[in-house]
Amino acid sequence: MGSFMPASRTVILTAYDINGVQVASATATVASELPPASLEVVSTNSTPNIAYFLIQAGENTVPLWMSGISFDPAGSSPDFNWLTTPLVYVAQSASFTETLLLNRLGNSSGDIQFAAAGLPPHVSASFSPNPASGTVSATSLTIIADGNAATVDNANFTISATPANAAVGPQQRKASGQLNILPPIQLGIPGPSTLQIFPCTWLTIGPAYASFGPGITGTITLSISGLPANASYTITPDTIQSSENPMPLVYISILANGGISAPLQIQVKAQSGAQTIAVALTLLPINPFITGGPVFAATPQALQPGDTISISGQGFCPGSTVRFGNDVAVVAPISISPTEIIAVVPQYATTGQASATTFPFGVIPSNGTSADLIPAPEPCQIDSFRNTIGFSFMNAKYGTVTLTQIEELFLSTGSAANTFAAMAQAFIDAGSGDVCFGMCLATQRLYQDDTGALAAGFPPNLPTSAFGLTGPDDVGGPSASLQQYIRSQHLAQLSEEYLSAYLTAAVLKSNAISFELRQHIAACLQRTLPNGSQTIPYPDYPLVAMRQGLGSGHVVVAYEIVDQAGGAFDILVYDPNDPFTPIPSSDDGQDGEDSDSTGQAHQAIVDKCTIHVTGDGHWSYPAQKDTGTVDELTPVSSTIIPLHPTMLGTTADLVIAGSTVSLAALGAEVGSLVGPGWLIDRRTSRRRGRIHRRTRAGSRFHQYFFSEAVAGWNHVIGPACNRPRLDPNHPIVKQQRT
Amino acid sequence: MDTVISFGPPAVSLHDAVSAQFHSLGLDFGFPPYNALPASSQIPGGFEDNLPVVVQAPAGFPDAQVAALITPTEFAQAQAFGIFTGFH
Repeated sequence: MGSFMPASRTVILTAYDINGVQVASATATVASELPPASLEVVSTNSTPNIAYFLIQAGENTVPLWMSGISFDPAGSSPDFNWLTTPLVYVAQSASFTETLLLNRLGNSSGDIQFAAAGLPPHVSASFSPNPASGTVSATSLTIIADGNAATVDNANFTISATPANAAVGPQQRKASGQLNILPPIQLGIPGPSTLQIFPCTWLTIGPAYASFGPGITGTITLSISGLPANASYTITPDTIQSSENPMPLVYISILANGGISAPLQIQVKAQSGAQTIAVALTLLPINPFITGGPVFAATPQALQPGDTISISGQGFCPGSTVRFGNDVAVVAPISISPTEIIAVVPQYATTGQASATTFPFGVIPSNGTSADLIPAPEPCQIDSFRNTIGFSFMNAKYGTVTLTQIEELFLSTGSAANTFAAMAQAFIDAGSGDVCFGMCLATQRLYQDDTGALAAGFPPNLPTSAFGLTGPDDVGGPSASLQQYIRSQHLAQLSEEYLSAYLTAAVLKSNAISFELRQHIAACLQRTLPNGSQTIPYPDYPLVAMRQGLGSGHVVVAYEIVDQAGGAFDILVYDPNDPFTPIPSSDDGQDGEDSDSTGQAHQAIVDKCTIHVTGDGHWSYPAQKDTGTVDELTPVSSTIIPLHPTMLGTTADLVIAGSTVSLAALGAEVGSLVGPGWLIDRRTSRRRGRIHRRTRAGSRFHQYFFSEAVAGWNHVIGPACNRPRLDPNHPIVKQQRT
Repeated sequence: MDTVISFGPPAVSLHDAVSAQFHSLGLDFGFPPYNALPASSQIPGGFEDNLPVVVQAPAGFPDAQVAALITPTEFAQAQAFGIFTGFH
């Protein structure tokens, strides 16, 4: 004996008799250095009795080697023992055969009779040959399990070998075997037997296995029973041949369209001939849920109507819809899978308001209602134009024209400013006094001010959008600086830049047909601006002036175009007369657009603040209950008005359609249409809930230079907000909502 | 006369597992017949899957091949179990 390791190691040689009893033992020390060690064991028995020996290292993981073994001649005492013992796996209605080996020693010769004992009922054993004669040292054991034999697992039984006489051996030798009786076919489904199943989602089970018991041949067919009519399943493969080796893994999938309403017992069955085996499973219903979303597609400013979103979750079924804040904003997805819904935010979407029992945003199952909503884990913030870029407060007069406003806007002082002030007071203060133009322009100034520096000048709020600025109805608001700013912007309608652009459009009738109007607005909304090396969408929301006859008008901001059939289209506008109202307004009793879960309040205002343009050149605007032709709609980009535009003076000339036109000439031309001296002053007070009108015809018209000419172009420009119509026959007309 | 067994060709070749190659000489290597032994047996349990394997002899040894004892697991004793066909 030697070792492959240099250090000295111990090796032990032990001898045993035929019953495993130790006879002798020897120990030696070995190392990698030569020479190797020799071990010798000697039985002290009167007759030779060493049947087995064990060579073993004294320590773990010591590699040893032996060069040879020598032993003296064998004794002549005949004996025998089992060399192998049976480990039986047999199927019901099948048999099992195994060759068992004997160890004949000491010239054992003669018959050895075999028998088995301890087998369960309906199981029998036979040996061949039996007896084993001469020096035969093997016999074949056959175990037969009847069809009604019970399945057993590692049951012990005994085999015995009895010598015919002393020439064979001195005594009977027994050994134990292990018996396993298996079904003819087997079906195993690993994992829990109770499973949750989502609606419309494949439930995958397994891999399972189906196999034949030992000695069984044929075909196994797999199926599932107990599923409801709305469910289906697949089993792959669904048939298995006994000739297949190895047995294939089986994959089971179950789909319940619409889900299940209560726990359900099903059976997965394996059938081969008359043999059937089943595994019971329990399916539990589980409600679909949303795990994430909405995930927005790229948008210029958070989530807006028209944006595409993705909602991820589990258990979404075809026919499901997505609710965006209210019952009106429920849409069918553009695509749906069990785990993802892609939908487009509808026009009437709102953020909505959550309560303990209701959720504004989520998925409504097919054939369900809002009460069945699958809520999203987080609210869905709808940042529409009106509740971000628009103001939260109403259009109102907010004071009068002052020299400070003129100086702030035009950077002009002195006599020129005084002169302009008189003119502006006549136009603006003498009219309704409301400042729709100023509010609309102010929203665009704030929108275009990426730094937020402008909004920072209007405390107390420091919002991220114009909508967050403190309004006049709030406690402590609005700030004086914001009122002043809006009013100063309102004066910009009397700038040379705006009037030139406006009158150019009016004179040229550049929007004579609907298509031209649409193109002018769309060009603004689709504007892109360079951003580094890229060009990004950066809508320029145009101010749209609505001329209502010759003496009245209104200004709104267009933020969306929705095409309709026949060349018609809708212009969705922010109207400072109808700000977004998240909660019910105490001022006018309007329902909150977020808090109204029916969506009707929001829908009504969006619809009302939509200019409907027909394909044949006409428009109507429900908010003002007015109609006209498209040449009376003038979209003008706020970007044509400098932050400090040119103040219109008595000697100023306007550039209209490329030609210079004197103010006096213009006034004479247009003023003649209506006659001089018609002007209505109107004051309102929303706080008292009613409208007061005070008429004062011409009282200030004859001041200073304010001549017929000026009055004339006042009639033309129109966008002085909500002025009563100047009608010689009906000097006072019913005023629209302010 | 004693019987002498060595692990050279032609009886065994390099890398052979040694089992019944020397049966005619009266010795097999194998595993204890545990299920055929009485309860009084003193043969250690757990002896399986470790027949000796013929390897190249260490340098300087006169024989070309020897039988290496195998450890059934990584941390176990190298061992071999011999079964005689007669009593000695």
